[in-house]
Amino acid sequence: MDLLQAPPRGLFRESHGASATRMDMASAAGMGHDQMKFELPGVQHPAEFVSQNFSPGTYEDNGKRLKFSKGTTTLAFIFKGGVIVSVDSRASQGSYIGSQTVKKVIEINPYLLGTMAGGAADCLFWERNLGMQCRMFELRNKERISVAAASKLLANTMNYYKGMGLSMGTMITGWDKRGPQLFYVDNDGTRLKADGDKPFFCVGSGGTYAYGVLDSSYSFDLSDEEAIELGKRAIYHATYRDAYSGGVNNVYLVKETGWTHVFSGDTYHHHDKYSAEREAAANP
Amino acid sequence: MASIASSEGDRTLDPAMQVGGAGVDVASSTPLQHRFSPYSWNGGTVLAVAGKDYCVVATDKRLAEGYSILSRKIDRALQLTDKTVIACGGSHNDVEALYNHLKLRAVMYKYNHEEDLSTIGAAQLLSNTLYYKRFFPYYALAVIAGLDDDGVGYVAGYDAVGSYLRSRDGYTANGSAAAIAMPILDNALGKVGVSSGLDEKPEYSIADTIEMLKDIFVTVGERDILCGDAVDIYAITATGTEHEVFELKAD
Amino acid sequence: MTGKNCVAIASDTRMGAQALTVATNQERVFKMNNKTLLGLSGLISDVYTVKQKLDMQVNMYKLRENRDMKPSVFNNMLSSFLYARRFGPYFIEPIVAGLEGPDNKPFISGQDLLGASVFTDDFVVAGTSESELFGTCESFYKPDLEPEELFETIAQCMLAAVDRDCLAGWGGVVHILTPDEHIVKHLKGRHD
Repeated sequence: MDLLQAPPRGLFRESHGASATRMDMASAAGMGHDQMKFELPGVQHPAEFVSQNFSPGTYEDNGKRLKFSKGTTTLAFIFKGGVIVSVDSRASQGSYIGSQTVKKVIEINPYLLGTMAGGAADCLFWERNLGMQCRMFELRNKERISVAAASKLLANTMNYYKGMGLSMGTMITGWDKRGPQLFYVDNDGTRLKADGDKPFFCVGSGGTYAYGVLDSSYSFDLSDEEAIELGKRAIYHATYRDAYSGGVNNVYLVKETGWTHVFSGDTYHHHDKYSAEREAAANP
Repeated sequence: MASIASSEGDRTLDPAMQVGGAGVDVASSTPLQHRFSPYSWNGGTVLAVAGKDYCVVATDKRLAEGYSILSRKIDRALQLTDKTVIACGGSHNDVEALYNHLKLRAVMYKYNHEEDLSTIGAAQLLSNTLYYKRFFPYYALAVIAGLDDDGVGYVAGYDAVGSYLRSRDGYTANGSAAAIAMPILDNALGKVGVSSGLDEKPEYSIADTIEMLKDIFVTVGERDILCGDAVDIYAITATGTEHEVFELKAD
Repeated sequence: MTGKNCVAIASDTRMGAQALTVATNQERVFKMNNKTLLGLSGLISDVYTVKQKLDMQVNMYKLRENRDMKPSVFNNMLSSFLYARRFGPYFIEPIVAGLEGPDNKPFISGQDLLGASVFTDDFVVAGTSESELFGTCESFYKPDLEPEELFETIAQCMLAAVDRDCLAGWGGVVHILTPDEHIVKHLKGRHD
């Protein structure tokens, strides 16, 4: 909505005085930040202000309140059929479960997916912003943006706000001219490409458990069905062991033709299935 | 335990400061710090339930600070358009500021587009408004309730910096007693994700929904000291919004 | 939770260290004698220590007096036991439920980790899901329920509450105490 009614540049600069330098830097980098104005508290260290006044533990009587939905398990891996993205759906506020039905895969456009871990608002806002930047790229260049470029745009944004207390651990994935692509971007500005013999990432508090499953069962030559099953299993085991992960498991498959949402199921029912399998294996 | 550990009070009673005057005993006195604390916690519980063709949002009218009650009849809800109501717990100064901003934006939208802001549009607007204060947040724990473009009930809950989600089960709770009220709603209405209770949940009529929310507020009022006095209930249907006030215990 | 001539304690079965779920079959409700149940939430090593020390006290009492300890007496004993460790407390929050006297009047109480008792005639709650349980119990509880109804009520309260708490769940267990029976039922809960 702001985009249509953004004030002219001159006016904007006038009203924002000291912060203009920062904004100029952003617009020079072509990041579209000139549309944005983030009010800062009048304190010496704005980044510390938020962490002092808002804590992740909610419903405490110290007057501090929820900030982040923290717990998460998200994973993505490349295999011969494309990319699998599998996530849980819990949003926790301290130990309270704020929601059990969060969509942690953000559909940036029909060829690009982003995942959410860390601050829910940070992920939601900046990946929406990334969607806009990607669309602008398409309109300017008459071709789709590469996954590498898209993830770089996000990494640049994160780098720009580095030290301001943003919290985001995301995977950007999709299919472009170079085939299936997977990148990890976080709030430090880190940007990693998935390749080599273990092309996958797990992000979030349950990520270690998911890595355990992927490390032991992953192979590049999995069929689509096997890969989807692996994604489900890794998320189930993470939700089982990690208190801050849970809810519904959503699985996406990225192909040359774009992504499809291939599975959505309550981990409550997964437990029946996997515990029955475990028992069957123990008592053949 | 609060009486034993008072950290703030000690500084002014520092003997070095009292006897020797300010700044004499540099080595042992702590540096003077000013903390900027513009937030208070005024309580406020918001519950909202969406149905096939209606939406009900309820919020209490008590304004509290610590153990004191500052008012028993404040309005926490904002009727943004005919089909959209927003209600917030949190710091009431921020809530008021946020509402003033949103009211302005809704009017601007109507002048520019010659139609009311839709509920889904208002939901995104609220999210962006909160996020643009990411580094100096509005302390407002918001719930938006209304009818979407198809006339179906729409309910979404927010955190202080604008993370929001349309509830798939059509109910949400936010504010001081969310943790108390939410499992009750789960048990009565939950279908997806939180699977406690029976799988088959009945569809409630708007009158039954209002009754249920009243019941839950009576329950919450027993256990949350910040919640009480009265409840504002807004029932939103295609024909408009009806407002009623339900009295709670004032203890 | 109290019923008509019966009491019940429900608990979840998760044992974890912060976010890590270590075990999902943790028992934390104990039968101290034929008329007394004890529920202990908190640090699991302290749960065991306290349970064993209390067992000894209860047995010694029985040997000395040749009768069972009443729930109210047990509650007082537990209270002074915990207060004796005022400056190095056991990290537990106990709940006592039992049937008192010849007419089996329901008795329930809860304590904090220093032994401050709270007595109610409907329900007490303790542990990580405390506020969620307050909501469900306050809403679902009815007085004078028969054992079967009491089981259903307390089970629904527990399941709905732990589903909103990250640190609890992974199944549950309900202990029901009637004048002549001690019934234990396991609940199937969410495993996330």
